[in-house]
Amino acid sequence: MTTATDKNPQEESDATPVVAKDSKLITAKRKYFYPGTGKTVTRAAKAPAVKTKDTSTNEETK
Amino acid sequence: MENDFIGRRISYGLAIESVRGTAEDSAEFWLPHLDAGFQDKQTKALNESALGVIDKNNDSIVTEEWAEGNINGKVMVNSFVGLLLLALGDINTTAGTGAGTHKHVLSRLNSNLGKSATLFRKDPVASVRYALSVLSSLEISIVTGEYVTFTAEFVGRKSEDHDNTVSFAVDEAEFTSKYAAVKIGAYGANLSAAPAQAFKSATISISREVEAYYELGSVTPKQIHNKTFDVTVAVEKRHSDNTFKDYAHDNTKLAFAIDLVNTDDKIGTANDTNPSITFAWPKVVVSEWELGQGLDDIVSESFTLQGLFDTVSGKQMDVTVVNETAAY
Repeated sequence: MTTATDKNPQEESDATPVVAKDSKLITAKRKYFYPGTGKTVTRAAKAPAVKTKDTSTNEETK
Repeated sequence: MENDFIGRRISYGLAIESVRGTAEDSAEFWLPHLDAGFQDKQTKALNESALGVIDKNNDSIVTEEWAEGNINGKVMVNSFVGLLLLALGDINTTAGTGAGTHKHVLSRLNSNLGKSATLFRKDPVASVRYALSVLSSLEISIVTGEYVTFTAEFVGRKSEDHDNTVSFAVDEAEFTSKYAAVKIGAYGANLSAAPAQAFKSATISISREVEAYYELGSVTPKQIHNKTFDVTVAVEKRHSDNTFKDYAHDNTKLAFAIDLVNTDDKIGTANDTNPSITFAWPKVVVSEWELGQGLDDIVSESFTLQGLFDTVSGKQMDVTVVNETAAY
């Protein structure tokens, strides 16, 4: 088992919303507490991952 | 080196998997839990073959390895959608009424390979992740005078070492019982303007009947299936009339909804929208109706609202969330 060292989060002081990476949608910035550093920073939520077609599902048409 | 720690220093995070069973690199949400027991499990087979001595076992092998357990916490308007997505499987996101807000409608995906997550854990002696973590049940508890809380039970693959950086969102809207309104109407009724019922508590239980599937050549689950989808709501209220007793005895089908609207919080770029979660069932039936009649207690009634698949709307339930998160 490894114990990770917490990275120093990048402060994003600008409180204006940002555009998510793969989307035209606007996502708000939020305040996050990092227990590893004891600091609270304002940053965008993690941009949603690029959604690929998941061929493993067996969804049926209703 | 000794490195003792209390449970409060354990952190759990969650990311919805883009491809089922392929571990995500980092958590979308770290969950400020109130209780948690999710951890690695294993079964062993003991070698009991006789070796001419009275000692019963002479060896052991690991036969199955997986992860299992609960994460409990308060319902928060952004991160809780991740759990709802695991419970229901499908989401449709559109722009909300207020600028900078988003409306997410979650509905049941008709699949036995629903959404999965990678769970992350970090504590002073371990930093790991669990791929193919599947929600087996989700319970939402709305009790007078308390925060609205959830209990999520998971089954997943065993942990692997992973470098995690923990960060908790500290400005998410939460909900208490004062923001809750329970609504009931005739089957097919629109409940958006219906009056709130005088209920004391409501507990929503979503069951996904999860089963790990093992194959030859491995001790870890090849697949973890969601089987049936079943929803019930357990309710308590004063026994002031025979309305729900009659519903139970007459087998009356009803429409049912629970609104959680945090009227003390505003979201959106214009700060003009209340964050909200609405659970809606087009068709339920009252079952297990029972009186509580202790000598010195206010006589109460408890019953279960059993969700039924409605062939007209093509669903058993859906959930609508309004928050500031762009996509899940």
